[in-house]
Amino acid sequence: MKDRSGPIVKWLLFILILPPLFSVLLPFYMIIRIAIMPEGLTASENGAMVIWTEHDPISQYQWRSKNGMIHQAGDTSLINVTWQGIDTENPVTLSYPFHQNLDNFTSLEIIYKSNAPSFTMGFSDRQGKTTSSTIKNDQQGDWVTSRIALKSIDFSRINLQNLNSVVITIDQPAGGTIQIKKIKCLYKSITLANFKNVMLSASFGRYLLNSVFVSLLIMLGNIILSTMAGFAFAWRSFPLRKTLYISMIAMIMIPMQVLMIPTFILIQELEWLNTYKALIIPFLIYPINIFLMRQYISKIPTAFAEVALVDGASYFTIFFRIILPICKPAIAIVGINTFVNSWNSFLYPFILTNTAEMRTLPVGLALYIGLFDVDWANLMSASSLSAIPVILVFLFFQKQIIAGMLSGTTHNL
Amino acid sequence: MFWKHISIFILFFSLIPFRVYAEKKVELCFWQFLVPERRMRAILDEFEKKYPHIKVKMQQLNWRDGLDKITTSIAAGITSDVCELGSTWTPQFAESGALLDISEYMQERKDEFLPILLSCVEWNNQYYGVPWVAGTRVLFYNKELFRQAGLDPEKPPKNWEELYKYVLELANRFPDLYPFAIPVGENYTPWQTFLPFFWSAGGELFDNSLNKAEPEKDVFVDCLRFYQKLSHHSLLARQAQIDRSFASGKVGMMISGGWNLSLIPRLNPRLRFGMALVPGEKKQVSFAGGEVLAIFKQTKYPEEAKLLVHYLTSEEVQNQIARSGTSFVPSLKNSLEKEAYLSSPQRKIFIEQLKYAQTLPPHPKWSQIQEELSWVIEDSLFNKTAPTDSFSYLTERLNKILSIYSKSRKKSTTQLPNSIVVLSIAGILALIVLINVCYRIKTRGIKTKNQRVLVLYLFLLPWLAIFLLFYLFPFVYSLILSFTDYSPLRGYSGFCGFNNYIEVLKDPEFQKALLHTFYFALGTCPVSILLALGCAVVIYKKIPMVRFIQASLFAPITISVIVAASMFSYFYSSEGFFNSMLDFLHLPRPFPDNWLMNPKMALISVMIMHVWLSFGFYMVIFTAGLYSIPRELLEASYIDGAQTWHRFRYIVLPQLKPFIILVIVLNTIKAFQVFPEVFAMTQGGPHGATLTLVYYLYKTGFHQFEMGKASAVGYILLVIIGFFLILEVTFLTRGKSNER
Repeated sequence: MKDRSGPIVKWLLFILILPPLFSVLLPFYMIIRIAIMPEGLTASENGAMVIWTEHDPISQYQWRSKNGMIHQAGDTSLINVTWQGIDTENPVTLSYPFHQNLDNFTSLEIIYKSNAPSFTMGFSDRQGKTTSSTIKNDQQGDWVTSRIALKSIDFSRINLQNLNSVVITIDQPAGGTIQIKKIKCLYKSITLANFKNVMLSASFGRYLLNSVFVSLLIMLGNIILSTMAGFAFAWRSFPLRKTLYISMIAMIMIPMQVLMIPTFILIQELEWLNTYKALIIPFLIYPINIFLMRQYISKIPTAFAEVALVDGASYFTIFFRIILPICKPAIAIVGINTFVNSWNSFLYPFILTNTAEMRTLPVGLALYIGLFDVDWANLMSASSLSAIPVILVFLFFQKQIIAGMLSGTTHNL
Repeated sequence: MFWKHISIFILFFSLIPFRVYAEKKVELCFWQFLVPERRMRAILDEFEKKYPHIKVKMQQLNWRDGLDKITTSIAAGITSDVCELGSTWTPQFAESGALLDISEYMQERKDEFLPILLSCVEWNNQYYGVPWVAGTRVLFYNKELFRQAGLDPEKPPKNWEELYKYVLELANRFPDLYPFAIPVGENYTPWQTFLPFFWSAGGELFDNSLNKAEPEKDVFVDCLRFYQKLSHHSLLARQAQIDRSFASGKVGMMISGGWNLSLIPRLNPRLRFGMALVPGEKKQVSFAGGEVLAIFKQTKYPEEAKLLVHYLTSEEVQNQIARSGTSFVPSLKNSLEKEAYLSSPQRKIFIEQLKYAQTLPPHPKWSQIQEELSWVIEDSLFNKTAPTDSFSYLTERLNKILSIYSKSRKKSTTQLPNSIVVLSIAGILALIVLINVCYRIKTRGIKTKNQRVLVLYLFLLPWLAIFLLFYLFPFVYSLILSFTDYSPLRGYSGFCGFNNYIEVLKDPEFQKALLHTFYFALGTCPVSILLALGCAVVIYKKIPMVRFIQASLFAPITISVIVAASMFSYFYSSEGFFNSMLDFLHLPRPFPDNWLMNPKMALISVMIMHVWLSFGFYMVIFTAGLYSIPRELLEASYIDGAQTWHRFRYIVLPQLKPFIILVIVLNTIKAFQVFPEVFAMTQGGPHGATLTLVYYLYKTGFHQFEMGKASAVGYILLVIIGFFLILEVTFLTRGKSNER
């Protein structure tokens, strides 16, 4: 068909669709923003998380020190540590509480003034194990800004998930002082660490596999079964047709929470709990799909098929040769609908499975949500990852919808 | 032919799963929420090493939906062996007889635990669980704000008077910030801040035997009045939102739990906050809860299960769990005193507070009681109801719950008999006959031989099998349940005719839910249909970037409702997108300016999100419909010189009709059944403003365990939806008989 609307109309329409487009995409922008940004970035300045600065007063349980005297010098409120005559076995340690996911940071920066030629800076975990890297102080007695790349710190010794504090250790036998103005961690501005975390967690692959397997089978089953049943419903009267059709519509209208306990009891009696069977077979039909299919098939004119019937073609021939090709757009809708529904379905997979191996993605994702504390970065990156297969399926079926148009010549019969 | 049969035979038997009988090892099933999966596995591995003959299968539950799973499992009679329960759930599970009585075991150990926690596991003088960990709430305050307002950061308020003075000081100094925060909009948090205030003034909700609710009137009224006074200067939001606002420095004081110790440094490491005992009138009381380990009665290995519980509550493991940084503290006195990790000042305050903490009255109907409490609290905050009215309302409601409960206790209950299966099957047959009588079968179309009709059944057969088994059977089953007083926990005591239906229809909450559902359907259906149709038409015109636009408009349905809901909750919050839009347009903000916490705006907010989530799919249906319009029709209209509007009205719309009907039907059903959005965003709140029918159903069935009633709601909903669908479809197809 030749397109008759001019470019001006098209651009006008394009402008018209921008507001809904914008409002649809805005939450996605937020999701991706949370997924690629390190979590604490909101509380940071210039791509760095300030851990401590001179304006922050020292309180007893923020800075802790062993063998050193911490005091705050009046209004300047610099941290000021002095020590005298200590040995290497009992170094001065200063620690500051720090619970962060280090994947988000590139380096640790400290602004200080000291007369010690060198000291070490690192992290300790809750078990008290430490790891550190040495800082050489070239300009003793002057303000110095030093930066340690986190890559240069050996993290194999401590439990990264249990980070407790930033630790500064000074093992200079002679007495001395150190003054600290600022400690900060520099962020990666954009990080794929969250994605990496999610993908590398052993179970994500399994969840994904389960989801893909279950959803694909459910989708295929639905396409085949509901096209067949829709064909039977739309095509011809047969005993019990109306009855079945009406009870099917009733099934769409009853909320699933009502059917949950009976279904669960049934599946338990079948001994299907925690198997793929339980996740797939009950969902091979979504009543709504039959309704959709019947609605579409009943729109197809019957004349040519009746001719075919009289000519001696069987129902199978009519179904495969005539109905299926015409139904492509409807099949596409059924496919999309089913895939999306089973991909995102949460409650049934959650109730019907008991082990981590059987979990689907939504069930796994829900574990990122605590009672009061949500693991946003991982939740968002995991859910944006889990949206990809659905988009792929949509793009595939979108083609079919348009292909249905191109091949839809049968309407002219 | 022979081989064909053989192969079918083999295929059939290969479908029967082979059972592998492994060596005799006791396998325990353990469900828990508390400890992250991997860390728990490590603890359990240690246990397995210690007791080589036991294997533990662990299932991690999440806080949002874990209770549903436990409930369903109890209803079906298969549960785990050991399960972690919240302290408020224990009485109802104990009362229903689902838990194993472990009094003998507890008699030996009960002195090891904190005394207040024992009341959580005790029911009828028997012990049904072991306290695992304890949690309490303390006062968090922002030291920097205190300092700038001229208050002493080391002297947090101790009583109500000081608290109010501090709040006023902070309000004077920082008009943009919130001096205090009050949790609302959830079921289980509003009372967590209110009850400690009430207790501290010497109030008690119930008498000692838990038979009567007689809160002291003066105390209650004073307390509520004080709460109202505080609320003028407070952030009213859900607990999670309050925690985040506090971490970003916008809240002066809040009452919250131990999870903040790891949350605040992660969000804002520079925030200087202090912790203190909850300010109280006479004593500084807080609320204590915790987690309980219980053994289900159905377990085959009670001794091994006890070993597991014993191991998990041992000092060593408790310390290990505490060190892993959970928000809870151990329940053992020994650990609390000796464990070094707990001696840090930040942890110490929780242990100190536990000494002055009170647990909830252990009542099986707590979920209903907390709902009434939250209702009264929100009512006095949002509607400024006079405290005396709230008091009389609450006493009346609580006494009603208690009296209904004590009546129902006398009934003896049994598990569902197998006859219900027979009944269901009979019901299916009866249903089929009934509908057949209503619609006489007419054979239309060309006459065919019977053989051909049989072939049609072949098309239907696979679908029919699944349909009958997994849809019609549960349908009839729950229809029968709706005429009983079935509860997943207690079992049932007999049929009660239409009582459930009458009770539900009389319930004012149900009527409110019905009204909200109507609003919801009326508000969302036209908008999403028009939006979808408009977008489909525009896309059909092949505008620039059409594929991208179509895919993006479809995109909302690709993400799960949970994630979308958390995104929208953020947009609706005080600093979110919707409020900044209002500011941009110079329109006044609603009060409270968190839309989801505002009883007037909450339903509209959920509606906006529902449209956002669902219209993409309808757009796809319309697109398919547009593409299925024969092009010759349009070509002909061009040649005849029809106007655009006329072409749309007289050619496109009639051709689209089946699709429009389809979308309207789908949309009506979806709007009437709205649940996930409400569940994830507002949970029926604030103050019942978003209570919809299916949420009401869920609440009745899975929080109050009245499955009979809940099923009745389902069938009432079915009738309502059916009525509307018939109305819509007859209206749309009137005067035409294009339906075959």
